[in-house]
Amino acid sequence: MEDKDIVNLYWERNQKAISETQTKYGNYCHSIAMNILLNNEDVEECVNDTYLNAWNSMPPHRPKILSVFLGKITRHLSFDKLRYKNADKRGSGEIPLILDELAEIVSGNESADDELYRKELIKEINDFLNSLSKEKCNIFICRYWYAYPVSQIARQFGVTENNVSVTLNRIRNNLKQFLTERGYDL
Amino acid sequence: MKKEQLFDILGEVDEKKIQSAGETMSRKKKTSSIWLNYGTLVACLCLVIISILSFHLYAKQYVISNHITVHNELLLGSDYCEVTEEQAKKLEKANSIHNKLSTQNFEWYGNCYYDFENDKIMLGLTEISDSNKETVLSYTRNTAVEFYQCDYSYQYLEELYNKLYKNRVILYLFGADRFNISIDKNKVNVHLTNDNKYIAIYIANKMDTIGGAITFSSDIQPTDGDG
Repeated sequence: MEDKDIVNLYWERNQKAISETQTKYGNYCHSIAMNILLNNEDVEECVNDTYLNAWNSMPPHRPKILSVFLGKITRHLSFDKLRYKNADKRGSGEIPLILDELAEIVSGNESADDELYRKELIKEINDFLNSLSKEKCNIFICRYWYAYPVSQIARQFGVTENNVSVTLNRIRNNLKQFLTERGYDL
Repeated sequence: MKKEQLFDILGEVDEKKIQSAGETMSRKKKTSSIWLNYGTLVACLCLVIISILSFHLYAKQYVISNHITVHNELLLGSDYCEVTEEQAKKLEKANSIHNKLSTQNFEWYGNCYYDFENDKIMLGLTEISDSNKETVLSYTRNTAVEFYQCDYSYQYLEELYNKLYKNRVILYLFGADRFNISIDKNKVNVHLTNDNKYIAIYIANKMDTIGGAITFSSDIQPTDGDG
């Protein structure tokens, strides 16, 4: 079923919307959650919560890219769950490694969670991503959005793991410089 | 900002980029192509080898059915003998006449050489006519020459030589290591590294559009039953 038809089902409050979502994007949401949580039970819970969140979000939302809309919900829920579970310990899997990598870009200090600041920062990050080649941008997002392991990214892109690590390291450094030049003290 | 905050903010980047990256990860993995490439390479090599072997057999059959023989150059080579001053002069004269006539691009001019055995300067024409003889004699001046009918014009032999030269790399790969115009034999000689180089013989022969203008030689004694 086409995305717009699925979205229409949500708007019509037709419960078939959930089953259609599950059929088309169940595996997609599952893989996003698994990259973060590594636990089937938690993954199932997050994916089910994603469907609930989608049901509650549409209307008023009418997403252009349904997969990404659902993926964002899953990612957010999964990360929240992971933080809740690992509040007092480091945890395993890719997320601790990814967070350590991202720590290179930020100061680590608490900052205001201003909505306007957040929107502006997202815009700047998008501008930075626009300056990257398609491959580098994809590698960056595969790592920091989808939380894929470096080894899996390397296999899929047909390059060595070292190549991916070096690429990500350079992108992080360039992102930090880019944001600093624009007055963002992270 | 804390690293967790940044991770959260990165969740809001451009949706099209997220979609593009997701599609890349769900595409069939590239790693299989490494083995596919090796497999393809091996298959291509096998195909090339089989093709060459088949061509070799085909070329051998061609050589046999066209009764093409490879002469032993060592046996054909002329014995060394003393050249008298008179003979040396005639040899030089023959070469001089050949050099002059070969540059005129006469379609009927074949060759000019000194026949040691008969002590004559032989001049070959593909068409022996009075007008051709008269033209030639203007170049020979008072030198006595004996005309004879030859099979191939020097122009044709040069063209054939040039064709062989253009394809010298392929010919070399298949065993024809050198070639030259043999003026006294009125042919192009192709030297082979051994007498089993059927593919080289086939390729060279195909360039000879008239036929019979190439002789093949090698330093190896011809084996029985071949050729």
